[in-house]
Formats: sequence, C-alpha cells, structure tokens
Amino acid sequence: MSPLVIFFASIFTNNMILANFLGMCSFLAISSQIRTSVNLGQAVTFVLAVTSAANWLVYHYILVPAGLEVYRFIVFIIVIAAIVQLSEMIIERYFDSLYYALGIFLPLITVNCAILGVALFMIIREYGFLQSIAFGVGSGIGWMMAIAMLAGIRVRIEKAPVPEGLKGAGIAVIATGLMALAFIGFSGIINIS
Amino acid sequence: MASKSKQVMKKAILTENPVLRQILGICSALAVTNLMMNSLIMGLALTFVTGLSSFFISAARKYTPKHIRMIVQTMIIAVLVIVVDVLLRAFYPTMSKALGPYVGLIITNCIIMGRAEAFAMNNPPVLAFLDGVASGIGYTLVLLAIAFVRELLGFGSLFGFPVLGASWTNWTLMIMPPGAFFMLGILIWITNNKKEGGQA
Amino acid sequence: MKKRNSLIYSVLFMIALTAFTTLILAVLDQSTRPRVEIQQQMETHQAILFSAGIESTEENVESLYTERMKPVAGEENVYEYYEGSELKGHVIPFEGSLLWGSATGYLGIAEDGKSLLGMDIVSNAETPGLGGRITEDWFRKQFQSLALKEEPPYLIYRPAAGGNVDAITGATQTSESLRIILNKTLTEYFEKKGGN
Repeated sequence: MSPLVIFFASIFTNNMILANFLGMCSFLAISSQIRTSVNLGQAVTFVLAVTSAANWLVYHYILVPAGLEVYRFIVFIIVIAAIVQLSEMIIERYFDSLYYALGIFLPLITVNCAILGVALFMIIREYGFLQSIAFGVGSGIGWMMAIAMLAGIRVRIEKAPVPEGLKGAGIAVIATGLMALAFIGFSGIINIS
Repeated sequence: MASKSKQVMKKAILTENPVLRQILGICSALAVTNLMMNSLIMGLALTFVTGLSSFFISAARKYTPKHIRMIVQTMIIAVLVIVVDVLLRAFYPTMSKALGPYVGLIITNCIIMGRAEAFAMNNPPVLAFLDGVASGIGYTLVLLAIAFVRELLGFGSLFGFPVLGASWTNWTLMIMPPGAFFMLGILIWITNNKKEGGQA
Repeated sequence: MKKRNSLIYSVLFMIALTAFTTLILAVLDQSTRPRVEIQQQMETHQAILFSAGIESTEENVESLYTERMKPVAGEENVYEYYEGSELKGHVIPFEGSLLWGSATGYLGIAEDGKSLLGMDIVSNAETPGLGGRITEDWFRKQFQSLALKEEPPYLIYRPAAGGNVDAITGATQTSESLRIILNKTLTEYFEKKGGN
C-alpha cells in the first residue's frame, strides 16, 4: 500500500483520537485554547515522525535479528523517551523561537499514548519503513487537527448553557464523539492496511 | 490495619475512581469497550499490572534512587505488561488478537503511574498492592458499565449471549467509536450529579 | 541516604533491575514460545481446511491437515486438497482492502473450476457486528460448494440478476469490496491455470 494512502488514511479514516482513542490524556487537558493545541499538535507530529522512523529501525534491525521481539514495549518506551530528551536539547540550543513554541510540551509527550500506539500499530500492521514514517506524520497531523478543532468547539461551549454536571470534561468528550461521528463520513474514501 | 485497608479500597473504587474522578487513562479504555468480554479481560489485565506494580514499586522504594525513580517505575510497569501480553498470547490467543495494541498501551495508562507516584512511593507494599488492585477494579467497573450499554444496544447481547431477541435492531452507532465517547460523557455526567447530590 | 543518590549506586541499581527483569522475561518467553507457535499454526491450518469446506476442531485439525492438504512447491500459501489420492481442488490466499482496512483469507476452488470449496477470512479490521460479520458462519458457509458463474464476475450478490451469494445487510461497502477481491483472485487463478 502506498505511503501516501496511509498518510491520508491516518488523518481522516483512522484518526488516532477519533477512531483509536489514543492520546486522550493530554487531549482533554490541553484542548482549551486553540493556540496551545496547535503548538502541542506540532510537537506531537514532530516526535511521531522521528520516533516512528527510529522505532522501525530499532525493531527491524536490532530486535528481530536478535529474536528479542518480546522486549519491544520496553525498547519503544526507552527510544521514545530518549528521542524526546534529545530533541528538547537540540531545539533549545539551536532553534530558540521553536523552543518557546514547542519546548514546554516535549516532556509531556513521552507519556502520550499516541506515540507508543503508532509504534505498536506499525508493527502489527507490518508496515515498511516509508509506510511507517507516512503513518507517523499522518497520525500526528490528524491528532493536531482533532485537538485544534476540539479547542475551537470548547471556546464556544464555554459561553453556552451546559448542564452543571457536564461542564468541562463531560461536554468535551461528547463533542469529541460528535466529531468522530462526522469523521465516519470519510470511511470508504481511503483505506489503511 | 484491617480498617485502614478497607478504607483504602473503598476510596480507590468509589470516591476516587480512577477513570471517572480523574479522567485519566481513558485512552486505552474506550477502544475495547464494544464487548463486555474484551472489557473484562482488559480490566483484569490492568488490575494485575496496577496491583503488582504498586507492590514492587513500594517494596523497592527504599532502595530506589530518587532521581531515577520514574524510569524504575516505567521499567517495572513495562515488564508486567509484557508478562500479561505473553500470557494472553499463549493462553488466550483470540483475546490477544482482539485487544491488539491496547494491551501494550497499558504502559502509558496514566492511572498506573499516578498510583505509583501518589501512593506506592509513600506506603508499605501490602497497602500499596491493595490500593493498586482497588484502582484496577474501579477502572474495570467503568469499562464494564460502558461495555454493558454498548454491547446491549449495539449487538443485543451481553458477554456474547443474545438477550434482546431477534426483533431487536442493533444500534450500529454504539459499536463504532462515537458510541464510546457518548457513553463516557454520559457516565461523567451521572457521577458528577451523584456527587453533588451527595454533598447537598 | 547520601549513598542512594550517587551515580555509581544509580547505575548499579539500574543494571541489577534490568538484569533481573530481562531474566524473568526471557524465561517466560522461552517457556511459552512453542505454545504460541503451535496455536498460530493451528489457526492457519483451521482456516485452510475451512476454505476447503472442512470444519475441524482443535483435536483433529493437525491430522486432517496432514491427510488432506499438500503445499504446492514454489508457490507460497497455495495448497492442493486431496480426498484419498484424488486431487479435489486448490486453496489459494487472497488479500485486499475492505471498507476500514485490509483483509486476508483463503479461498478453496474445486479442481473442475466450476465451484468453490469454501472461503475463510483470517484477518480483517471491519466494524464488529457490521462489516465484521464477514467472519460469521452463515456468511462464510455460503461459499461452500458454491456454483460459480461461467465467466467473470464469478460471484454476484442477490438480488441482482444471476446472484449466487447474499451480501451483509447494512454493510454494503464491505460486502462489495470483498466480492471484488474474491472475483479478482478467481480471475487471476483461472488465467494462470489456463495459461499453463
């Protein structure tokens, strides 16, 4: 399957949040402002692009030849944590403005389930190297789109008369459900494999 | 001691229920809640990991260097998740397939780390174990509650047994992702109202 | 207290922890690996047998498989199906995209090329209870001893003219995608066979 198809499928039909429920912890916590949501989304996309490549290489060139697939959960976590640390250091040193935009979010991302989820999905679905990168970047952009849209909705909802018990997380979850419902409309346009 | 254990259990299951009160760790929860059986196994796997990880983290807390405690905790949790994954693959392959990557994602479940940091680091192993198990049970109950409605309306069955009869029209929406989001929202609503009612 | 935060202690602690946990996992992995492999093999064999129209249980799957199935040399995942010494048909793999994701499975074709022996889905990502019903017995069993059309398309859903299979109500797209994959697989199979 072409990496391009995987790229678009992971944005629309197999969106990390709306179809796979991944990355929701930070999704609900951060999505109250559009600006910060987009910044976090960019950081996630960046980390996903790098980690999906790194994890793929580590899995196929180190773990599989050594017969150590059983340790993949631990290895993926370590690779992700190391890359996040490393990119934080590099960005801080060389890209000052970027650091102010993304820097504070980078440590948060290590525990974002979407990152590990992408690594696990690409192994289960037996993607090749380019496919994995396309999947990683697409998932990141899909995640950013969903979180930015939810932030937009939440800004409006704040002024609406929401029942007391639903305020905050409750209505955010239901709004996400409506978004997921809308995204079902994309099904059948493209497939992921 | 006994009354303290009981109090810890009660607090973790009801009043501080991990999913509802902290809205943490719903990531891996929702995807498996379209069937009661998947939710039950997922809940048990999670209870196993939270209980034992709390136990080991607490047991090792006096020997763990402070500044590397996060990586030690992650390591212990990841090892337990791998144990669950290997056992499922060996003894319940169909379930292992059905849960797919969501077993591995238990690692990033915020509840476990949360319990480790908040409770296991400051309490003796047995108490930490009970706290972990109770958190896991509370989590399982939430999963089962969501799965109950989703499977009942979406398939007309419970644990795979048809209960609503052939004339029932399945609500396909309930099986698809939006159904899970709606159910979680409603569940949060109900518990928020309950809490206010209790306080008034 | 001071000792606990020293670099050497931290490094030693991590090494000890890693060594201990790695050991546990290695033992667990080694002890369950044969079981996992047997189970995976059994699953595949059951699917292959089902595609030839034979239902097997966990107990008799291996004996049935060795008795009835013979892998075709030089072709991956293609099997000859024998009853006694008589060649009854071939089981071939298929693969393609359904509505939500890719699916794989096996298709059994009788030696005369006029009917199917059966069909089984090994993996799919369709919505459970909807497109996912392609794995239900009533759907899969329709393909057992199913008379094929004489020319492509070999499979047509009822109520269209000349239909020979039932689609899944409410899962039109999944059913249609599956039909296209199966027809394509059949066309390729017959072309290759005719060419020989």
